[in-house]
Amino acid sequence: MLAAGRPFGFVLAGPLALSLLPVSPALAADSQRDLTTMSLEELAQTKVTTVSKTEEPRFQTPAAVHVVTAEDIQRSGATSIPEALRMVPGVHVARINSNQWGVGIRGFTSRLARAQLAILDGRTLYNPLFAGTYWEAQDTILEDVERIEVVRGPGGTLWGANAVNGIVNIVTKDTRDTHGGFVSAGGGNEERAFVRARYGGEIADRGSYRVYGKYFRRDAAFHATTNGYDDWHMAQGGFRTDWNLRGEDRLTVQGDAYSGRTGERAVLSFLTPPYLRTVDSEAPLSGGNVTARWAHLMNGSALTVNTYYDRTNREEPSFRESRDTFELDLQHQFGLGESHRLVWGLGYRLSDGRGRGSETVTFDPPARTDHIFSVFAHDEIAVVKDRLRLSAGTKLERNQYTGFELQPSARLLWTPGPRHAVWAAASRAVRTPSRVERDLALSAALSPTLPLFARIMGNDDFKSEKTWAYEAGYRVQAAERLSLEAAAFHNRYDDLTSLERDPPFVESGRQILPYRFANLLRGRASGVEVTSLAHLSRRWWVSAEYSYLSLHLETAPGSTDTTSVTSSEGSSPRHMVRARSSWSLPRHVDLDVGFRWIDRLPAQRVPAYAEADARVGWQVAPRLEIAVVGQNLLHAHHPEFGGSPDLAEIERSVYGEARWRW
Amino acid sequence: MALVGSLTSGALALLLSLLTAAAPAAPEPPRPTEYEVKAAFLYNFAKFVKWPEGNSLGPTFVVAVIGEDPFGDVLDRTFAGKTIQGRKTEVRRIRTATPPGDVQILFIGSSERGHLAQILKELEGGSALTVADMDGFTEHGGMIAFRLKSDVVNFDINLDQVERARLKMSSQLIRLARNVIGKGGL
Repeated sequence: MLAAGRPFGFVLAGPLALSLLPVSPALAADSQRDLTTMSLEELAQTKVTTVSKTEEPRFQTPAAVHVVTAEDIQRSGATSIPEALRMVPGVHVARINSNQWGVGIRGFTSRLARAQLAILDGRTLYNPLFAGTYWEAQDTILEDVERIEVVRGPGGTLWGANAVNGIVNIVTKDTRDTHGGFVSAGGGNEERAFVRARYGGEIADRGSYRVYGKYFRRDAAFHATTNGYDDWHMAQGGFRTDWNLRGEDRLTVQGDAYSGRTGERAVLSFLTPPYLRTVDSEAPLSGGNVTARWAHLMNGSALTVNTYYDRTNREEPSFRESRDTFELDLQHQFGLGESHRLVWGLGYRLSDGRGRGSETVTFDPPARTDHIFSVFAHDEIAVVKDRLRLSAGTKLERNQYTGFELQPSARLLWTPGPRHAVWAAASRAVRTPSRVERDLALSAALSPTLPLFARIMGNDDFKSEKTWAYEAGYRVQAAERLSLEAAAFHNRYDDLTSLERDPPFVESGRQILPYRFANLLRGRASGVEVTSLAHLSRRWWVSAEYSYLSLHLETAPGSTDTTSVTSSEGSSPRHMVRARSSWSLPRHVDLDVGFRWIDRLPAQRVPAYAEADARVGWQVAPRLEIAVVGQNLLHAHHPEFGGSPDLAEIERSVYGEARWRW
Repeated sequence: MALVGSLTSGALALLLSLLTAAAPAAPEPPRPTEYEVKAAFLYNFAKFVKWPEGNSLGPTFVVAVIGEDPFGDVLDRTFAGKTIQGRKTEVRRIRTATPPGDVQILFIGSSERGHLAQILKELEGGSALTVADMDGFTEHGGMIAFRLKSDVVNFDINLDQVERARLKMSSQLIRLARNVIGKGGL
């Protein structure tokens, strides 16, 4: 909770104070009695939990949760957050080109997935202009990431609007765990060059700090018909400090700053001939943020305050935007009696965007300041001690577009024995309008020579998209070394975004085909995700997973939208199969292999594909590790998603890395 | 719609009855994990053992893990800010096959079972307290072996090895051991 500023873990994982989810392990440990103050005799009588620490809370979480650990990230050879998300069951990661990713959780994959939330250390990464997360701008030193928690399914009750299909929560390490320094450097054919460095230490026995910096340069993807335009580079630096204050108070202050350029190709429209022009440019991208978190722990309760300021700037060929976000969150959790665990909270977010479009891309009004207020309450009830747990709650949020939004949920967990857990949930979640659907006016030329334009218009009556989600799951520790997990879901969507065609008209000698955002799409999604993990020996584990998605959308009566159904349905894979092997060989050699098969995406013109990654790491000396990583080894290049002006293809990548610690 | 409505009101009624049925009482504190307790024991070993002042005891008191580390970050948290024999503590992970000489407590991960004899031989002549989880560790020349029985952590001690390393172990600690090898079992 400290780490993420949201109580999700506590609420889901319940009286287990060692919850893996947003509760910071440090906070959770501190909230119990300090074992080092116990006498030897007391210690010799202390009963311990026998299920492993990392498995237990997740095992008893009534939601489809997957945790990518620091070791998973390191041993995968992933160099960016979206690439690390490829390890999460049921999550579809599609690299559009070198600097753009589409991420889909239970469907609706797109570059800016509008119904998923992403959070890094309590700071939202969701951009409310176009509704979604620009993954190319979200980075940190992956060695400093403690874990990435991915919840599939809605989390609106605790996290607020837009957490409809899933949540990606990135938590970085406490600075007490990152004392000392490291430098890592390397390069390859696609990862052209990179260097990362971090140093951390103690501050006067009261706190800890770390500072870091990184830089990378990546090559363009493969383009069959044109030169590569999507190479990019980025520099980022930051700090984090953690302080032990008087009593049980803890304070964290952290910040980052980044700057880079992403190669882009844009097909721009103009009101004068030639109406269509293709422009290659390097889009500047920069930003910075500061976050402060304060936690006050009392007997059995915790009060946390999380606040941040974030600034992002992007300058694309067709528009530019600077956005300032400020957020203040307060939450309080406490036990009530033996069987209740309550969490409630208040939040306020201010998001102020100033954009500049072009003659064919305008926003009316040009600037807008969003104020979002929220309040939530949630109770977790031990109905039958150690057997049956019910959690229920709701969030009430107010935004300027649609007013009040209610997002309730109820979850039930049944643990018939220590090796089995069954859960079920029903929740409502909403995706609130973004400025695009309300304020945009975009004219797209349909011919370079004829004055013929499609015009997409925002709609002041655009409503929130609404979802009712029903989920169930089962986890079993089938044997000491084998665990299995299955989750199934059925989501019902109402008032989804559609694009309605209105009657054509002529304006200043230009033929206009107008389209308007509306909510005339609805449908349902169903699916299952099955994962298994086997520890073949102490040094070798393998995992396998399969996920299935069936997405059916339809237009409501009166709709003139003929494209949204096929484009949404055909942009997420129906089947995904993945497997991993992680093997620690003798002589301090690690060997990791990952395989994935992803079904075709007809709307993106992407055929089904199989790919494999591999990493060999060797601890040459106590302080020196070298590694060779191969990504997408099975093909010279393959497409994963449309979206670029041409269909960019992701190339086989090999890079080497040396890491020095002290 | 009527069906949904009745379901909702049914759920509300259930929720209300649950809310009112619960009587207030102190919640039971969650159990610590096995390795949290083992880490606390390591800290107690540091307190109840005296190391000879000499060249093996450096400016910091070093607790190290060789091989696979089952503690995660627990060990670091346990020893953070603690002082032992007037020295600040330091937690290290050793990735090489041979342990360095300046370690005071060495936890040998189960992954090193294969070259246990080699590790213990390297330590001969030094003053490191060796601890492990492995079965038969004390029989094979280790000093303290953890055991887990009925969810409680206890340990065996090989006192001959402890004394060979010129370590002075408090009788309070020896009394708590389940089995003691050497000195006629005390």
